[in-house]
Amino acid sequence: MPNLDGGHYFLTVLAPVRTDFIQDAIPGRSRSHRAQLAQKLALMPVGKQTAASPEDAWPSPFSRNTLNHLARFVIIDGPAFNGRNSGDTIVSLIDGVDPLVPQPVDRFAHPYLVFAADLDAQHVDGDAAVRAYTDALWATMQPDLAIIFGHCVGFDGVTTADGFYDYIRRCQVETTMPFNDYWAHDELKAPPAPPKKVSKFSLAKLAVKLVGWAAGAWVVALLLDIILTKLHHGRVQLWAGWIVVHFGFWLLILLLVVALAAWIAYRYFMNKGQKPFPTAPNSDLPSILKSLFLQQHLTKLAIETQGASPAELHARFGAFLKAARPDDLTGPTQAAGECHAPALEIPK
Amino acid sequence: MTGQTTEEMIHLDLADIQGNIHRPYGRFGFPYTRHLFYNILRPEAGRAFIQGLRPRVTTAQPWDRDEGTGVVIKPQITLNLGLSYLGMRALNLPTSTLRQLPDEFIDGMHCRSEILGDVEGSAPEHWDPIWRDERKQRDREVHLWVSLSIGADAAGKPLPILDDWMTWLDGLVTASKGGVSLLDGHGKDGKSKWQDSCALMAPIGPNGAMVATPKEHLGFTDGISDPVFRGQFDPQAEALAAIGGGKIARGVYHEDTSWSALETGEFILGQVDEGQEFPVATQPAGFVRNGTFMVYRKLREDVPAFEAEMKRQAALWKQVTGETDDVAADETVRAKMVGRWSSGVPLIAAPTWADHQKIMEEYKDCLEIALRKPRDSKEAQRLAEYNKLLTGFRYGEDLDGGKCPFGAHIRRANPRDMLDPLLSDTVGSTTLTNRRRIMRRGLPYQEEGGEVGVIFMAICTSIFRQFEFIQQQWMSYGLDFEAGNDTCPLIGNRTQSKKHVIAAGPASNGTTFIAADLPEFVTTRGGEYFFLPSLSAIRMLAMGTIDPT
Repeated sequence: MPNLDGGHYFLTVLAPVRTDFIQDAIPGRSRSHRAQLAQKLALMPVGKQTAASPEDAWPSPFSRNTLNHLARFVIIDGPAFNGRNSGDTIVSLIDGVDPLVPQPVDRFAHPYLVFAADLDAQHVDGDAAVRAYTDALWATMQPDLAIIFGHCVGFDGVTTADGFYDYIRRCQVETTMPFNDYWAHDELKAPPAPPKKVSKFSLAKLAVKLVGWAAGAWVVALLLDIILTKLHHGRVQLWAGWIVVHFGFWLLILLLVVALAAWIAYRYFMNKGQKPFPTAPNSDLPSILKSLFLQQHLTKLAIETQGASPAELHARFGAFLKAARPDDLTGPTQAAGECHAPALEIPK
Repeated sequence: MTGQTTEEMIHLDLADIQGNIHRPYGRFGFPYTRHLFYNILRPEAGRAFIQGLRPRVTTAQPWDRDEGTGVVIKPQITLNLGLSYLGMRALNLPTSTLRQLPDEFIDGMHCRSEILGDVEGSAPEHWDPIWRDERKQRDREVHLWVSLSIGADAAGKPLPILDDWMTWLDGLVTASKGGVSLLDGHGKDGKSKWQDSCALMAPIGPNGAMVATPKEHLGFTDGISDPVFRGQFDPQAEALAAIGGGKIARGVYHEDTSWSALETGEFILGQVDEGQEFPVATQPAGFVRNGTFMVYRKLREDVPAFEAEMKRQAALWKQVTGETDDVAADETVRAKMVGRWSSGVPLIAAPTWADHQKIMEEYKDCLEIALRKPRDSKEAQRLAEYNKLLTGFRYGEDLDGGKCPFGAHIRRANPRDMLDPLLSDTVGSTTLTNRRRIMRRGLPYQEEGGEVGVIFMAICTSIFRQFEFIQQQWMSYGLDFEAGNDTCPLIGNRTQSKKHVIAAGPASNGTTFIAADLPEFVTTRGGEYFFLPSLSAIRMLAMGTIDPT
């Protein structure tokens, strides 16, 4: 399933936003769910995303779990409208299209809240990954979720982790084109070399071409037969007629075979597309955070030990390994939602 | 492709295009440039001032050679002008023209400082008063840029005609009766009324005459590789200059057939660009056609800090790589920062100091020919061969950065084919960099207090897409070069990273070297974005009629 790819789950949720009013006792002071939702999202802290973020920026609530790599809310008010399909003036004239009659415009009955997240699904099936994620979200940011999805249709009465999971699954749409930054390197390193021998695919192409030519020749023969019958050209007309009669049936069979082959090929490629790529090793968030931590401190060590003697280098690297504990994902490590590793004390 | 038919050739109206767009004057025998900046208080006075300048504006018209002596017949002095956004407003241009100008041009360089990496030592509060206070007072706004470029005598002094032209310009200001004023505020104390810049001179001409050199204050050879666009030169010269200066086509690389000139619209408005569209500037089209945008930037170079740091890095380089020769270590560290040896020879052509020395020996006649210009076709051909060595290279032959570090200055400024995802030693195109090229103009400056640097100018049709992208994504950031937050080791700021990684290669005996704790060498002293109007547009500005409809 494209939702699941390379050990990551790409969750896409489309929740319809309520179109009733948030009623106020004073007439004229009712508010729109869409507007309040947008305000809530605008007030969500985003943490220190870049070097330019303020030092005391509030961390994003999504950094309270270590399952999601990216999470995103977007409100979609409606589909884009590119204006009239103008087309070709002469064709429109022939088709009888009246340019003064308005064309239909696509509209949504509701705005939609999009929630998209890229989360860890290492060696588990997709359902289990989504369940673990919604449970983690409910445990760490329930008040925010209650406000946000409270502006959406059908969220009334959701008060438990079970209810939240059910709601998310009900609103989920398939992610058909996930973007994954991590992949199993060994299996995808080298793109397969173009096949040197004639592949099934090029054989199929050849077959389609042959059928095309045969069909073309048959049509020409048919036309010749019709024309020559009218002109009473005896011998040539006999030949053309013979072709039309004797090959028509076989041509029909051949066309059916090609259509069948095309359908099988289509199914084959679609099935291939549904198969997820294997889990990319060490692509879960705790491993990524640890590797970011190690990368920064190893760079620092490399700078400090440039030109050091082998003995000193050995000792310093040993001390680094002891302090940094490369295999220990629990710590020391970089916190989720931060863009720099914390300091590391290395006893000398 | 180099073999264009005459139908495909672009014939530019060179007499309608300002001359500084086509020619880096410094390399055409004009080692001095004086930059003057004016404020326009009353639109009608501004129009009259521009009308006064108009007859003397230098165009891009080709310069002929005297048939007898072969000497190029060129003006004694050149004049070019440009307008800032505030200048356009001060001239009362129509709202329909003003509101459609590019955002970054409307903002001006001061507002764009965070994007440009002008922070800390380069932040606007440290700029020269003219640029620091530009937006604080109506009568301190910089509206009009005028530059005069001029030759030098044997003693290295500007030719006396400069004084005559200054008197003439003063006369135009006086005639404006306070409607136009010349802005002071250059230099640290802000007392200077203009910004002078001048090539570094050396007594290497006949009888010890002073001759302009292509060096800047940090000791590097500057202005070697500039983009080449269609219609810039005649077809033969274009085909030659495109090797190294143009773009690389897709497919298997061949030096003689892969290069071609960039589309004209990347550098001149009203022409189709690399995106197969007209570059967006504003309305009406007739006002922007044959014009372009120019970035003016004063960059201070901290020579003592640079020298001290290079000494420190060279000592460490010897320790880490086992290099024993002092000169080789010093020169190599410098070259690894820039991507070229101080002579200008690229690291791709000469990865080690020994390789460089060999090339210098082989082409030693070319350095002299380059300074005095070739005398005959044989010398011209020899110089062309040397120039091809300087510019006609690609990064597909240095996939791991072992010769030229990924983060080196020239690799950041123009990554050539290195961003091609299919790059290999035989294949690679410049598709992803063709829309990020700038023409660089400018000369070194030296001030009374001892401050030195360069007056840097970049010419392109989109400051946002070309200059600002290079400055922000490539000079001030390292993701495209697998270098994280590292900035350009030469001109970058050091707020996020102070290091430059030099990948293992032939010059380092196979050892990776990290040049760490680099201080800031280059800091911004101010600048602005200008529109360089065509001669037709200058006429419209003088008339005050931009859109007659």
